[in-house]
Amino acid sequence: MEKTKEILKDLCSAVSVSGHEHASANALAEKYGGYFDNAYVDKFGNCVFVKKSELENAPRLLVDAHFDEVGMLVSSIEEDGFLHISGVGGLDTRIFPAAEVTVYGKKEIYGVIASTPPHLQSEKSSKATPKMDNIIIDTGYTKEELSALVRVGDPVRLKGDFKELANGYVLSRALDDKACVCAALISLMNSDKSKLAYDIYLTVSAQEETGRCGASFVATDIKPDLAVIIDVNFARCENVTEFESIECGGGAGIDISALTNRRFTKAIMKIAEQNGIEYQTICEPDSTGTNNELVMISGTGVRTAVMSIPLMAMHTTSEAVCIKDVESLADILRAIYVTKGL
Amino acid sequence: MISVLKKLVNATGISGREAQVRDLIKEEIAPYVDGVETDAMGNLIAHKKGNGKKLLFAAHTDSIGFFVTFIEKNGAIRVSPVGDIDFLAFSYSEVVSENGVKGVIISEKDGEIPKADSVYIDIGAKSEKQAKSKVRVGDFFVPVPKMTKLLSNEYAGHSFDGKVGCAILIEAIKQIKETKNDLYFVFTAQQEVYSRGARVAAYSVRPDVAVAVDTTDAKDKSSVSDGNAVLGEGVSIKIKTSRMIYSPEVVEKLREISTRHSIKYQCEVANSGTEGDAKALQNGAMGCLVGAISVPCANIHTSSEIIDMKDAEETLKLVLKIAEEYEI
Repeated sequence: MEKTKEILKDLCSAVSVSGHEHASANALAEKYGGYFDNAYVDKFGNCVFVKKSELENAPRLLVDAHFDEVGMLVSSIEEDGFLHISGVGGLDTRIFPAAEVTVYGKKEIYGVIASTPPHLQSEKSSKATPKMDNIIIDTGYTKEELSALVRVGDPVRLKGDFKELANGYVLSRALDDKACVCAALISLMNSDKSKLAYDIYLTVSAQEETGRCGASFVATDIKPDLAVIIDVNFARCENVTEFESIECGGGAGIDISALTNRRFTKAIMKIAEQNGIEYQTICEPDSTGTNNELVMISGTGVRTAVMSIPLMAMHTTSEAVCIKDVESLADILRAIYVTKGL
Repeated sequence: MISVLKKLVNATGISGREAQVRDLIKEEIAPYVDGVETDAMGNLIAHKKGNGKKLLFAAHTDSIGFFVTFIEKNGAIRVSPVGDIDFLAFSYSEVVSENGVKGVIISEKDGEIPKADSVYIDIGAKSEKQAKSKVRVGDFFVPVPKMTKLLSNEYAGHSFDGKVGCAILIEAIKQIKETKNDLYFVFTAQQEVYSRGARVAAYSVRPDVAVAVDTTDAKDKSSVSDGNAVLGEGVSIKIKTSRMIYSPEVVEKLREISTRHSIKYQCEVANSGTEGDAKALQNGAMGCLVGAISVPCANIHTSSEIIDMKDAEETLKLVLKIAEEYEI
């Protein structure tokens, strides 16, 4: 569990605002490449780890977790050192007023999102959800100073550092989908090649939050026979129904959807049961909201399954997961790797 | 470039019916390219051979307009929109059919925002019979072509959206004598209806890098519009629009080239705005790097779009430098 937390913390510290994954993807390939036969970053910023089976002509299994996180880009530099921003992916803007941010310009610049004190808010304005167009960041710089450090298009992140909570829970921004990246890495890092039934391509993909084109193109390139897409899912909490959520601490979720392969999905459930690994099911009839939708129609079509980790407070700076669920997902993946004929 | 643009504006064609525009472009560029062909979608694909990387430039030939759906007993012509049409902007505009029949778009419901089913075209016909002798179901109408010079270098007209990009590429084709890079100039069909042309053109060309050349929403003077670019501030390099992130590597090179050659440019990061042909080019190529450069255009998708020709000149300069210098 400690090792899992350590890797997850490391992943969460990487700056990977959607569309700007390249630098962090290179660092990731460098850092973990040694555990694999091959590691590379493609032109879209997808980081690919390859581990080959010793079997001849083994089928290709793609495991995809996305590396990008929701964030912002600078859209204009205003008088008095204010910045306008544009959202990348669907950040929950309710958490924006007075939040601390980091702007990744020529150097890291700290700023605060401007807010009105509660004393001066009207009843109406205090209830309104902030609109991205109206949000400004105060950096304390003059416009001239700021223009020398920041360009339009530079990424911006809200503060949300990794923290450990009680009972094996952790909190951080970008656990969507770095919790799954972590599960995929630990599932394959130390695996015994002689037992693998597949050539495994782990894609830590770019731009899931902004059009999912990373996974779509990397899958087109790899042409897998099978693919497992892993992403976070809604954790059960107040105001969320049982039908649209899974329980934190209840193990990985296995998605049942019209968009995934039925036989493959059933086989995964059976594998989990045979190995005594706890899992939950969630039904997402017409859309899984993941890279699956494009991976399945890449090339001449791919048989896919979707698995997930329950996540609290999605698309905020306080996303939280239970490490047990991360490890449960890794356990199921390990069992898949050694099961022939899927 | 202005004379080419005038010719293009006078050639009419809505999405799926681009032949007039396409033929005109073919005639203009044929002597200057190594090959030019029209594909099944109606894309015009021109090739200037080189040994370097495959670069694709795209501009769209289609414009928004109206299809005739029904002719009423009283001779009123009912229409359906092709592309993203704001009927308020087109109410009481003069329009012309593909066969030269003129008319005016009338809104039926006074004081309400007009919609497709509450407008008709009055062609002056007194009866269904008279109307049907001039117009058939399936004919298209577009705003009467015009191009008016305003102060400074600004022009007002219909269908600058698309055709400014075409004019720039035509001019680029004429000016490029020899090329190191392998250049494809694609004049795409059906951009206004989900960029269907660009997708298949990119699939057949399979470029290393694709650059869409088009117009982009500009702020007007009333600041009512939520445009992302500013007229007269040069070519706009797209970084992010509502649903699309343009390849950072391409963006960086475009910025670098513009800076080095003192090309006036602005960068676009926006919550709104569409990706034009860019996304379709990237998907059609099964994944290629993609960029988009645009001429800012106020009142886009109206019969009086406004551009600053200086911005078009800067865009042309950038296209020429990309073609010449882009290395991957």
